[in-house]
Amino acid sequence: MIEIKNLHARVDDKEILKGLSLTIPNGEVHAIMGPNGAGKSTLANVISGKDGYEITEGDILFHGQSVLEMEPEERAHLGLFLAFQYPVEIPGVNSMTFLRTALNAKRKANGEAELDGAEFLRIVKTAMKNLKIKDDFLKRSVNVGFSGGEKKRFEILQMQVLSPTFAVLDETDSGLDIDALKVVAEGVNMLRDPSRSFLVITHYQRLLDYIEPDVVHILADGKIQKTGDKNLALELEEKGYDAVIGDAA
Amino acid sequence: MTLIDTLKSTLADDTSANAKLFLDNGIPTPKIEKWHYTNLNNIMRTTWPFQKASHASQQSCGESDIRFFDGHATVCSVPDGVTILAEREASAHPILQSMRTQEFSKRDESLAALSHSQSTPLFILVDKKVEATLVLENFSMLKESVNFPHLCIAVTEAASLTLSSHSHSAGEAWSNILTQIHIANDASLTLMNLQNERKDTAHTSHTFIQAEEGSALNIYGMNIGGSLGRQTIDIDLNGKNIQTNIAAANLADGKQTQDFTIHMNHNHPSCDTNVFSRNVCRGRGQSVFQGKFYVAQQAQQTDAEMSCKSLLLSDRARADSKPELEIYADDVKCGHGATVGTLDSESLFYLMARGVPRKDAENLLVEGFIEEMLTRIPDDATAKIWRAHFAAWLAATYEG
Repeated sequence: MIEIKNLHARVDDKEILKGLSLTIPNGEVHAIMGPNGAGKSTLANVISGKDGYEITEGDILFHGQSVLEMEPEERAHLGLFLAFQYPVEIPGVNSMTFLRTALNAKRKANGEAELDGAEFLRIVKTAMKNLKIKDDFLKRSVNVGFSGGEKKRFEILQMQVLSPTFAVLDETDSGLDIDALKVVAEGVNMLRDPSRSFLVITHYQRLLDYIEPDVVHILADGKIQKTGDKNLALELEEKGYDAVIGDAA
Repeated sequence: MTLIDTLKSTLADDTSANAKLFLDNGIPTPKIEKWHYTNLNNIMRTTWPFQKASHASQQSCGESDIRFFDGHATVCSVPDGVTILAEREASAHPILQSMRTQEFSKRDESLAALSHSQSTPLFILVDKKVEATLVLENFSMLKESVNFPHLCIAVTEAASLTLSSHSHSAGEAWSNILTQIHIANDASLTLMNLQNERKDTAHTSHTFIQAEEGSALNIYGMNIGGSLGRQTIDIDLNGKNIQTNIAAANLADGKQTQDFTIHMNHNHPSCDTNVFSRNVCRGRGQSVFQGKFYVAQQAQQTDAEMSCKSLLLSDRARADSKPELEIYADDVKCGHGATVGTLDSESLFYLMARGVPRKDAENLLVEGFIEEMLTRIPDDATAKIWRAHFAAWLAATYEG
C-alpha cells in the first residue's frame, strides 16, 4: 500500500505539487490523467526520489514507512519501480549486465543470495518471451539505438525481472503504436496481483482500454481534482478537461 | 646535478644531428606547442645518476615474443615471415637504413632525437603477404635509470603485422621509447600499446609511421600507469586510399598526467581517418588529448573525423583537449568534436532508480564510457586484458 499525504513539492521557486493526497491499496491499479503541466511527471519523480525537487510539506508512506529521506536505490530495494517516460540511453553499458547488476543489488539489500548466471538467464528469458523481445536485444547497450517501442518494452522487461510491489508507469503509452501498446499492457497485466499495486500516468484514455484501472484520478494544478472509476476516463475523453474539472484545468 | 644536466654532459661529445638537437633544445617545455599541456619538469628535476643499463643478459620473454629489458631487446620467438635483422643487414635495406639515419629537426622532437642517438634499434622486417603477430613487452628493471627501447619496422607489400605491446616497470625509471614504422602498399598494421608503468615511472613514447597507398592502420592505446604517460603518434599518409582508425584512452588519477598527441598528415587523395579518444580524470589527474589533421592541397576526398570526450570525476581533475584541423584542399569532409563533463545525472538516476547503489552506478557509467573505446579493439583477447587493467584502475583509490 502506498499513501501520499498532502504532498507539496517545488522545483526552484515554483510549486508544482500543491497538497496532493492519494492512497493506493495493495492489488489495485490507479490511473492518473491530467493536462500538460499538471504535475504528473513531478509526482512520478518525487515518488522515486529524483534530485532537484524540494518537498516542503506532506509525506509518502510505503507500507507505512516514509520514503522521503531515502535514496532512489533504497526505494527500489523496498519494491518501488518507475517505468520512465523517456528511458535513458547509456552507451557502453550492456543491457544484460545492467539488469543483472540491478537485480542482484536488490537481492543483496534484501538479504537474498545473488543469482548466478544460469538462474538469472532463466528469469530474463521468460520475461523476454512474455514481451516478444528478441534474443540479441540484451547484447546491446542500455536503450542505445532502441526504437521508441523497444525502449518501453525494455522498461516493462525490467519491471518483470525486478518484480516490484508498487510500480509507477509514467506515460508508458507515449510513442507506442497499437501493437506495441498491447504487448506492453499485457506485460503489465501479467504482473497484476493482490500484493502489487500500480500507478498508471497517462494523457490518453486509450491505454486504459488495455490496462483496466480500479480507480481514475484527475490531476490538475498540483492536486487531485476528481476521483472516479474507469468511466471517469471515458467521460474525459468525450468532454475534455475543461468540462470535467472546470477552472483547475 | 639533475638528470638532464647529466644527460647533456654524457652527450657532449656526440656530434650527431640527433644528439645536437637534444643538446640545443633539451627537454621540451610547455612553450613548445606540442608539449603545451604536459609538463616534463619532474623528469628534469630528478637527480638520478644517468644510468644506461648495460646489455641485459639473455632473459626469458614470459608470454611475449620480444622483451625489452631496460631498453635492450631479447628476442625469444619470431613468427614465420618475420626477420630480425642485424645492424649490418639492415643497412642494406633502404627503408630500414633511412630510419637508422633519420635526423630529427623539430624542436618538439628532441626526445625522439635523444632516443635515436642513444639506442641500438631492433630491426624487424615483415615479408610480402605475410600475416604476423608479435607480442612485445617493455620492462624497466633498473631503478633510477633511463631506457631507450627503439624499434625500426618495415612491413612490406600486402603484409599484415599486429604488434601488441605492454610497458611496465619496477619503478623510478624513465622509458623514452622510439618506434619507426614503414607500411608498404596494401599492407596493414595493427598497433596496440598498453602503458601501465609503476606510479613513479615516466613514460614517453614516440611513434612515427610512414604509410603507403592502399594500406590500413589500426592503432589502439591506453595510458593507465606512470607518473607521466605520453604517447605521441605521428603519421604521414604518403599514398591514396589509406584507412586509419585510432582509439585512445587516458586514465589519470592522483597527480598523474596522461597524454595522447596524434598528428596526421594527409598528403594524398581519398584517405579515410577516424580518431576516437576517451579520457577519465579523478583525484588531481590530468588528461591531455591533442589531435591534428593536416590536409594538403592535393589530398582531395579526404574523410577525416576526430572525437574526444573527457570525464571529470573530481573537482581538482583536469582535462585538456585540443582537436585541430589544418586544411588546404577544398573537397574534403573533416570534422572534430570535443566534450568535457561530469557523469550524466539522468543516467545516474536511471541506474539508481533500478536499485544500483550510487557508487556502483557511477562505476558502471565510467565503465561504459571506456567500453566504447575498448569495443573498437578488434582483438578480443587484447581487449579483455585491457578491460581487466582498467577494472583494477577503477577499483583502486590512488594516493600521490
